[in-house]
Amino acid sequence: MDVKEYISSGVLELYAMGALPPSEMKEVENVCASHPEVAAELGRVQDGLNNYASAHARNPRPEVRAALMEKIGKRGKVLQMRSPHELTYKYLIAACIASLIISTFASVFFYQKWSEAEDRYVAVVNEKNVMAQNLNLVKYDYDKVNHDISVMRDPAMTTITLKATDSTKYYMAHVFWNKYTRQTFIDIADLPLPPEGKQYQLWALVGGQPVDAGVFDMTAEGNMHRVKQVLQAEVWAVTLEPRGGSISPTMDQMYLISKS
Amino acid sequence: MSMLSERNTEGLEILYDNYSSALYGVIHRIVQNDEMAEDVLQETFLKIWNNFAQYDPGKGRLFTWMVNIARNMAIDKVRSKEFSQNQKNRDIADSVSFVDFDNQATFNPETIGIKEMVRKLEPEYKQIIDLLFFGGYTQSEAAEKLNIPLGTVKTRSRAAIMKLRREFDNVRT
Repeated sequence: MDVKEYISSGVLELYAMGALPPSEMKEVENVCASHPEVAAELGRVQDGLNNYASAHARNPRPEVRAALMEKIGKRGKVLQMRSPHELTYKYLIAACIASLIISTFASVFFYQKWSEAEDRYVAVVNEKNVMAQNLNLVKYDYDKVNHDISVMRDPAMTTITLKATDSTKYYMAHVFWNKYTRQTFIDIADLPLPPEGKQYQLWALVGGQPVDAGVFDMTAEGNMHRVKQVLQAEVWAVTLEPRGGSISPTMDQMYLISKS
Repeated sequence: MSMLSERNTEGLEILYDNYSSALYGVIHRIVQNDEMAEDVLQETFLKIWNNFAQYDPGKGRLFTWMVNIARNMAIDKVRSKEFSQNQKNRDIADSVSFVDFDNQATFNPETIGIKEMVRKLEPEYKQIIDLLFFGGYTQSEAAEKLNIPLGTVKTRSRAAIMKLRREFDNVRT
């Protein structure tokens, strides 16, 4: 190929001005690649055209630059938003918020559970206190009964049975009398409740003379009553007397008497 | 250039400050309308920004690459439907021939000498460059338009640019 002829044909100028169809443009590029002197000439042609283009220079309004930079800047920001670093932070913040919500719900849930447990605990403690009180009452009763039994088991204790003076009634009581200590108890087996303002009174008869052995009430706590100490007795009797007892028994109100 | 490859916006700012006047001049010369030329200038720089990876320094100067982008976008704009509706009565070739350098709004002091020189260019040379370079005409379209043989378009192009080159060399020295 004659390089000089090729250069002077004007094809490089057409190429530089973009006036060639694509197939011929490709051909010029191939020639330039294999012939450095053609490529250098094309460069000079392009410089000439560039100078010609520059001769038309005029300044656009400054607003165009600002608008362009704003467009580019926005794209830059969008790119930054997608950076993995920022995504990591986004995920971290999302995870923090999620765990905050979960822990808040968990707190409410466990607070309710705790409140319920606290209520039940208070109820159990109250129940325990009631049971302890009941136990104390039972123990008191037990101690009392135990004491009564020990009193009765004393070998020095004598048991005397008192029965109704009216043979049609089944009234009954037992007197326990310790001949050494003179301690005296009466245990009611069956007696009607005394009317208002009245009390039963125990008498010890010695040589036909009644000696006051004390009054006793019919209470729900038991029928065993400690009465006054009695030195000696041949016969025991119970009469109904005004509250507080009498100095001498009201004979027609005698309910119980022992066999002499 | 490395700034542009790394998509650093500062690189684009430098590029804009150095070349916007030249590219705007070319675009304005083609579309003949301030507003439209500004639109095309923006689109041109966006394209340069987005396609910078496609620029191959081994194939030619950066300015050549950018002028071709600006020129093609401006010619596309002129040929688009929108434009033909606005400019129904004006033929592209006629609009190109309206160009009057004295009417340019602003001057780049460095290129004033060059403008003087361009004015001295023979009308037939100026015409062939205007049609091919600014008008986007192909060789055969230009031949038809000017009613000259295809080979003449080629030799006249060669002569026109040779003349340009000589004049520019004179200005420089």
